[in-house]
Amino acid sequence: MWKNDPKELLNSTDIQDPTDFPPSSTTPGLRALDNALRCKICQELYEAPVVLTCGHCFCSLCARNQLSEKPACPTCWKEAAISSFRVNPAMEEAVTAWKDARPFVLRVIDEAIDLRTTASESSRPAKRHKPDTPVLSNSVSPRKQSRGHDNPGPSRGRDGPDGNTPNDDVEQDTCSNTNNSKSSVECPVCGKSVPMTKINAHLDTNCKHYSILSGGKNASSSKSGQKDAWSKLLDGKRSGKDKERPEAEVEAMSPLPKASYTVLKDKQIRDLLAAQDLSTAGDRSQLISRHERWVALYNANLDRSPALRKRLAELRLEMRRWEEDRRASRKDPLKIDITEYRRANKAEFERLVQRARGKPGQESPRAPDSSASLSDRAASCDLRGPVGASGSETDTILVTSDVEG
Amino acid sequence: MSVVYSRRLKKELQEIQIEQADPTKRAAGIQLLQADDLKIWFFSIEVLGESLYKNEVFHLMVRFDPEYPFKSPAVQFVVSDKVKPPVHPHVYTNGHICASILGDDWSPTLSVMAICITIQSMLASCKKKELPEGNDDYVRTAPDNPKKTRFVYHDDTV
Repeated sequence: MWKNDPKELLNSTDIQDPTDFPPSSTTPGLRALDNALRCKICQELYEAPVVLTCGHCFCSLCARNQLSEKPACPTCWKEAAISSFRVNPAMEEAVTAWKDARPFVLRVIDEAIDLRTTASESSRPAKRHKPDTPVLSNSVSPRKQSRGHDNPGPSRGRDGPDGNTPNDDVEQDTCSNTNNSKSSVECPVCGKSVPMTKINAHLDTNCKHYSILSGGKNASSSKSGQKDAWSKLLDGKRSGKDKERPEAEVEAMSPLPKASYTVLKDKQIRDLLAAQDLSTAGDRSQLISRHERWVALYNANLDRSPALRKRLAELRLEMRRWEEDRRASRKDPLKIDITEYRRANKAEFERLVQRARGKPGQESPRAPDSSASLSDRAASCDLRGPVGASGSETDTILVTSDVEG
Repeated sequence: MSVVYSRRLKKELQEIQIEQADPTKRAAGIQLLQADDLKIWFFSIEVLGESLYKNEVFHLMVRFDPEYPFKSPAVQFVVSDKVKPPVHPHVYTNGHICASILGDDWSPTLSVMAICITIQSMLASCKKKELPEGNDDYVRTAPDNPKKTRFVYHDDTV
């Protein structure tokens, strides 16, 4: 993704981090706040935050990736497992709000600092400003942050007094104080806008009557949020009744099970991938890592609150980007060219061959050390000195086969 | 994963550059020498104050792969005509370092700076300048990338 261009590295403007805020002597707590809302693995604001059993919080995808390396919390090394993740909607809410507020706060700080420097230049440049004076109070007040999701519940106003059913009368009593005229709610079943007073009658007629054709007055974002909230609430209780909701939305509700690839044949893994509409190209390890990645992406997405979940199409796009990155990084400079390695170490191989052929009974004093370090690390912990085992297991196998061949 | 890789490294680089510009925050004795891309960075490290390595400057090479930060970077001292690796019981003469933080104890919550500081303190607390046991054997057979070596971490004191 990143070519070797230092300028591009340095001029990157899309990277946000806590140092965007002035130090705490100027704006107390803001840097720490920004830091607190960031995942300690990816350093981004939390995406689908989950809590491990130790209480540490990470992005769901980051935690999944990390636990596949090592089943422990990366902060405190306490044992951790994907199955014991708890979603953290409170953190998610805080992050959502902070994402809204962050650019605004930064702008206000900039303005305040500008003001202060001009003021200090004009009046008393010699005197030092107290660094911890709250500088923002003046500029914050005139603007109010407007947020769509502050009040996600359905509006409680109501229509004219034309309710007829007994249920309507009950409702009329409960909310007669909040009399916004023409209020409508979203039907949890068909999703159409229905006058608040008619919702029960609408449901009683199997969603056939009373809907408002022109659509409700809610903002579209909170509307879809409502819909998701409803669909989550009601999912499972209504089996097969809702013909109107798209298939993908329904299937997005349950997490994908992890597959135990060791007992699966290539074809079965391909079937798993095909069932998710994923590519079935590549060798076995590629198939497995593709499926693992998809399961992680998919299940991490479910750790978001329903309103924030990505669509399957977006996940597929992320998946495609990941595959491209992988393909690009396969020409990894860290990998050794085997023929080159053989040529460079020819003398060493010959020496080993000589030794192996010449005196089969005798072994060098170091040999037990290196074999122990490869086979059983725990047992070799008490060895003196770090053991210079010659390369990783793969390298060693390579060497051995050379000796024999 | 590799999106995490590039974004996180850029963040770290940005942070390092901000720190280096500000003498009050800079980690004393550690300096970024070169970071042209997100694959390989160079740092200079020296131990300030009283230590066995007084007035010695070492260069550290840090190599990343796209699995970073889930996998540790490959870290080693630079060995060239100009700079030599420190003589230290955990540092081989080819520059490879035996430190658990670069292997089993790596955590994605750590950072490149954290590694540099760990290595600096590893040098600072050294009591006797000596080569690691079996240095010659290791150096003769060592792979190019120290991450391919399975080190055994046995010594908690240095």
